[in-house]
Amino acid sequence: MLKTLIVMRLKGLMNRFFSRLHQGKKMSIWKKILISLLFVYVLGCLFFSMGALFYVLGETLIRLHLDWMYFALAAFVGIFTGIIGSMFVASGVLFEAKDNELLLSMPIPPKMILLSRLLTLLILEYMYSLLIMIPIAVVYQMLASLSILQWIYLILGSLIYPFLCLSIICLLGWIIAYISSKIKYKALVQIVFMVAFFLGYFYFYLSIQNYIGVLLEQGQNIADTLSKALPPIYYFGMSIAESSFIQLMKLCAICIIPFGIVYFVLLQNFEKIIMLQKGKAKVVYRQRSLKTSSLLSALVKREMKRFVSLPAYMFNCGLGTLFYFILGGAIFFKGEAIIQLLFSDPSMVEHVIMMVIMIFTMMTSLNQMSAVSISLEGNGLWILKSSPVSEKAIFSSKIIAHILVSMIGFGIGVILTILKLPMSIVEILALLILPSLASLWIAFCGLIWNLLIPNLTWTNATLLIKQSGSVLGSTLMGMVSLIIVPLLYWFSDLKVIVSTSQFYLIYLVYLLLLCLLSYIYLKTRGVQKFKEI
Amino acid sequence: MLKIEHLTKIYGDKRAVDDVTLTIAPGEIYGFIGHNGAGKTTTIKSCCGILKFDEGNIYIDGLSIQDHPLECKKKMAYIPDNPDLYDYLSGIQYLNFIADIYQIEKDERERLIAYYSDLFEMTENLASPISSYSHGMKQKLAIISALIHSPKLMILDEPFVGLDPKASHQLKALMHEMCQKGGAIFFSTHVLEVAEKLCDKIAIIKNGRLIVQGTMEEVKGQSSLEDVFLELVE
Repeated sequence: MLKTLIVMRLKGLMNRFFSRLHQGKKMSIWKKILISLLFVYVLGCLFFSMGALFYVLGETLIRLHLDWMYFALAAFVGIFTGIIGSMFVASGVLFEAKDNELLLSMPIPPKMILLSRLLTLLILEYMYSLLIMIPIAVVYQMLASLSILQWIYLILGSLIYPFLCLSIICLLGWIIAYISSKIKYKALVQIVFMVAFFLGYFYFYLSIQNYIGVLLEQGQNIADTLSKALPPIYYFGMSIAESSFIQLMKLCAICIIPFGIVYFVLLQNFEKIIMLQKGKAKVVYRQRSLKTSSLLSALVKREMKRFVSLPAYMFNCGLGTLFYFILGGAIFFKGEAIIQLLFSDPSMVEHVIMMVIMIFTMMTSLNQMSAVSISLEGNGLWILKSSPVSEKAIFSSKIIAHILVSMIGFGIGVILTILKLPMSIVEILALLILPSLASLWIAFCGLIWNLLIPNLTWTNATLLIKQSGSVLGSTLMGMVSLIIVPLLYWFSDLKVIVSTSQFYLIYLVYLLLLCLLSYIYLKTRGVQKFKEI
Repeated sequence: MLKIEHLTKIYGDKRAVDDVTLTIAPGEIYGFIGHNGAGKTTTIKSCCGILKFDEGNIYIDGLSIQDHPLECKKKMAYIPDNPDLYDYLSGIQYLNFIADIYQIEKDERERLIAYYSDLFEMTENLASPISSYSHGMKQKLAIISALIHSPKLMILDEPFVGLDPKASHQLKALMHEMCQKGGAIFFSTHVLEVAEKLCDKIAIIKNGRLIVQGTMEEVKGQSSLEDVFLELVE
């Protein structure tokens, strides 16, 4: 029974990604190859970024014989990633799953339902663990060498620490579900949690060099502090570095005992927690004057309401907007020192500003609102399909909403940047026009991807968004298409014969072409695809 | 009002709807009966422009749904068997959205929303998010949203499922009222007693093909509709 429940849930997770299979239509071999390549690319990027970070850390720590700290930091990043990656999934899977009541009505003991959910989450945690631990092991192998015993301890440790992540995400998921059930603006609670975690992670990543300095000065003190304040991380590091069985057992105890307690507490309160979402006080309607809107405006407003009602949508598909705020704020408030450093050589000014414009342009690919907007219609797609609304109006509303979300952060980021950086008129125009056009292209690109691989049979919107093949495809295609021209310019002789102003013009034409081609596709094949959904 | 000509819809090797032809005149309530998987919902969704079909044609008030989808959809309203609405909107936001889609005048939409919401006892609930609604409440909201743009043709898939007796009674009365004003109704149901009392004409579909159609008297004669149906589909 347990196996069936887990297999069903995992099938659900996988089918969300390979949505065509889920709909009974077999995916072509080319699509399978393309999606596999995308997976490999994403994994490569993740492995590379993690490997690069730990290469910097490892060089110093291993030289100072602080190998245990290398692995302790690996555990820290692993636990943090595991928590942030599945905190909201836990809330959805455990407490807000649509099939909770159906399963409870069947002759399945609640402990089985709960256990199957927890084990599914544990499998997700192991996936995160692999993402972190593989590059970390490879980097360590490159810098020093892992003995066979250390490999065994690393594997065992990587199997054990996700239990701690699981306990923490269950607790956080319960808190989120509880607070959300008590207040009207539940999306706000979730977005506050997400942004706080994200900024914390971002801050840690940017401050890594400072930490190394502190580690060098106070290695022993930190070891003592870590063993007291964050014992799982310390035990993980020590168990591998020293091949210590006792430390491994301590890690085992500190990770698995809390999981046992969490399981017991959840089991005792499972039905009560599920009912948290029920029986909210009713808001009585008072008749009032209604505002009228044009058809397109009504559709756009609907897209925006859906966007703000789903924290996972806002966070996963509106990340670029958040980055625009951060970038603009960083340039405006903390940019003095960097600006002085970068602009000390006047010949560099032009290139630095070009880089800023390119960063603004690249960041548009992090906003992927349109890439899941068709799938999010879900079972409610009949409303649009049976209404007198043209495909053009539907597509336009999704594109406009995407651009509006992008422009909120972009506008503020641009204003702060223009106020701080010495820019010419051409550069200001490039900063305004290029990212705007890129944003339009990304909106088109996302919509096309979602039309190609829609998924309307989801049961959990958060999982749909997090595992959307169309978001992944559109993000990667967007990134590659946006970076290819600047890379060609930077790493070829073109920059000798083409001035930056001319480059902006070429890039503008390139983006216009992308927009035009995707517009034509949407108008012809896109409309047909939508009709076939 | 609704004319279906040789409608055929194929899924893979299966002909889900096979050469279905029927006509619904203004003022008629037309019942559509069949076992599960017979092809009722596929036919209905094809009529509403939700599903593309492979052969035949469908005309709404003389216009082809394939050639003039928007004009056809303006004249009709559809209520699905499972009213999945926008959970992130409140009831009133949803109704106002639908009113915007059909570009209903402000005063008219306020009057009609108030009227139908009161009729189905939904007014108090309109401020609550749709996600908090029961199946029956969602069904009522879908019915109200279908009525506020005063359609000429209503296509309903199992409309009485989930409705309380009072709402069910109100819907039947509204269906009669609409037909008296020259509108037409095409609806599927498994409740044969309802079909027998409500419909002017009826069609029975089995494995995608119409096996009988006509006025209620022509189809059932002196027997009950249940006996006729069971005999035909066995």
